[in-house]
Amino acid sequence: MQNQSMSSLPPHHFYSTESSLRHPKRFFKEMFSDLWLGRGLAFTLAKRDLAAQYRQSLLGYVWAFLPVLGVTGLFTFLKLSGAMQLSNSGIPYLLFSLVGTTLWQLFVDALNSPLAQMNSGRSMLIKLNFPRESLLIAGIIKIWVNFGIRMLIVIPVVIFFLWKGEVTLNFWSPILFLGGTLAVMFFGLALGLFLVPLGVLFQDVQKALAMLISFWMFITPVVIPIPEAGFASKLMPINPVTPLLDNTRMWLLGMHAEYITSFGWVVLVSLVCFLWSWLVLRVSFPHIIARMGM
Amino acid sequence: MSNTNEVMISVDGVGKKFCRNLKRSLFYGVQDISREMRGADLANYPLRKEEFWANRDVSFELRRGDCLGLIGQNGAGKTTLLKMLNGLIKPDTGHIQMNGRVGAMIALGAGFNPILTGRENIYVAASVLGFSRKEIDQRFDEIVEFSEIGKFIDTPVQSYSSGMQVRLGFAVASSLDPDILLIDEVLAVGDVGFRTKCYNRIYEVCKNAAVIFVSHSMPQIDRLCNRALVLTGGAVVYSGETGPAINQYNKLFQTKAREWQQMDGIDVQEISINGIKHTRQIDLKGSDPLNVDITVDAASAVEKVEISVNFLEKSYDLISQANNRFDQKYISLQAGLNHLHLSIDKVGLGSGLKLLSIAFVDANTQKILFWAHGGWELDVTNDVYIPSPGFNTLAIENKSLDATPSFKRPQTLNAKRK
Repeated sequence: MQNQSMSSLPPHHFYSTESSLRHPKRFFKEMFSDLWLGRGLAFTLAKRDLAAQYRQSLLGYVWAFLPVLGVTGLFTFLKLSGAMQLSNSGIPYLLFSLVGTTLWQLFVDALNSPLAQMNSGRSMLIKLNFPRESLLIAGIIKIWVNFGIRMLIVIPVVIFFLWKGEVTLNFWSPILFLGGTLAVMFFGLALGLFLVPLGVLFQDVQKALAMLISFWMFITPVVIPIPEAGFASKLMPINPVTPLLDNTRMWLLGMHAEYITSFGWVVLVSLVCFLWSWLVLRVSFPHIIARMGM
Repeated sequence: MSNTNEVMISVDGVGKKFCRNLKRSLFYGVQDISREMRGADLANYPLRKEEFWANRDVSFELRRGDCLGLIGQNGAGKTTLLKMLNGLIKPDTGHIQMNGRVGAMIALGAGFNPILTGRENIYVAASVLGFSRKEIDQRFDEIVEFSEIGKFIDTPVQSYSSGMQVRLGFAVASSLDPDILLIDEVLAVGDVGFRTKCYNRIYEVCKNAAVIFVSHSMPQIDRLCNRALVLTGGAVVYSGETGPAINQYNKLFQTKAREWQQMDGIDVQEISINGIKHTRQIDLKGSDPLNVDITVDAASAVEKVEISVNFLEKSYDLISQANNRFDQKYISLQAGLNHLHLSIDKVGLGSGLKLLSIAFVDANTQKILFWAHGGWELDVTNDVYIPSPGFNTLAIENKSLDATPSFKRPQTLNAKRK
């Protein structure tokens, strides 16, 4: 029983000054074994954080979707009041902005998750040896739970417009949508993971990221469809989030997705970025932990 | 399976560099990461600006059944060494081989969330330590019982006292049975009763594991460890038997000059300890008696005098006390010379240098008449562990009072508390 319980730590450890990359076979083996061993802990940690997330609030899980509803409501109001002239996306605006905001929030959550998980797990990281990948997996679980709660609002709205006959779904819609959301999350996660070693050391990264995100939203067709002219019409299509987010929204609503090729490229780049960042993070751990405090 | 000769921990020439300046340290972090990404060996680089050795050339071996006490002043590099042994940080020189499952109690309650209940946090903390849910279920009751948390188990941890949190943390951490156990000074917060329980459990673990125990409490090091390592400025200054190691550690603290403070009208002329006058250091065994003869010149008679004899650690922490106030059996001082004889049957002290202090207090006014604080050093050597009784039996006699029957004759006092 003990063997099983502590199997997360192999019985022999050798710590030396040598670079861990000098033994690539062992390095990659440990990478994936830690990922596997950390799964149980990841669920416990995610459960802990989700349970604590809204315990000290009256509205509880309503806070998971309230900000999204707020942004959607604000832009729908601006659109209706005529204060904002937007090009026609061919989708009822409420639906366009609600799905857009939900997907954007998924991307932002994923982007922030790795660094936030490392920072909140600081006390564990500096004192205990455990499969650290579990912190990342716990972050992913939390992202999906919060996304799922938001979908509880999105789905009835989609059904409403379906009933009104303003959108049509097809058989593949849910599957394509799921694939799309995975790509959105994965891109955010890969980018977020890339920033972890530097972000744990320097707080500048987190502050700059917060600024970048608010700017980024406006060059992404989240609540504003790609305009026909102006600088945004040139910037938006080269923004890597655009193909992910726009395709996914189109897929959900059973419409034609425009950016198939660039979608594929972004997914491929995400994959490479993710693996590279994970490797760098593992090499970095002893050095960042040494500087996280005693 | 458990071969007692098996080397569990082998540390060879281990060193670790730290940087005093935070910003520079962060930059060095980036530098170290890029060096390692290039496949470079960290041992090949000299000290950079503002860097120092937090550990330097540390070597030792530990076998199953060994318990090594790691002692040293604050900042001597004890925690840094533990962190390297636990694989949290990398050595900058040398290498470490750990053979066996490692359990570390560097932090108790890491992973505790203050908003969640004790019950929920047990599952989290135990998972962090590598338990599966099923295993926690099996040990849950035992953990709760050991922690003495009782009905507070479903209360959020944020309303626990620090002692309760430590109790819960230790209960979880100690339910592992590792081959190698690393214990940082984590138990300082608990109350005496719980600490004793913890030390008993650690003692059990020691039997079948290699244990490294960090503590500033020399009696505990003396009791638990069969070997000790004294660190100063990151380097090993002594490695070997526990008794000499504790002495070495105590030498690190400058001994304060003998201080005698006395009130006007009281003049302590002479004190001899175990028959030796003008002495500063006394060699004795933990089970030896202690006889103190004091000559006091009092300007006027004092009706009720309280006398305490205290045994202290080198850090001035009280080990045990003998005091005639415990059962209200005070003695009197007559005007003029008084010859007092104080005796304690058995000092009950653990190995190492201890301090002795003696104080007289006027029991009516609560004024200190005389105080020799840490005035003597007792060099105690023991073959066996001797528990501190906390209180010693003190017999006091004022021999001079035989000549002055006008005073109420004090009986030989037995200050003893249950």
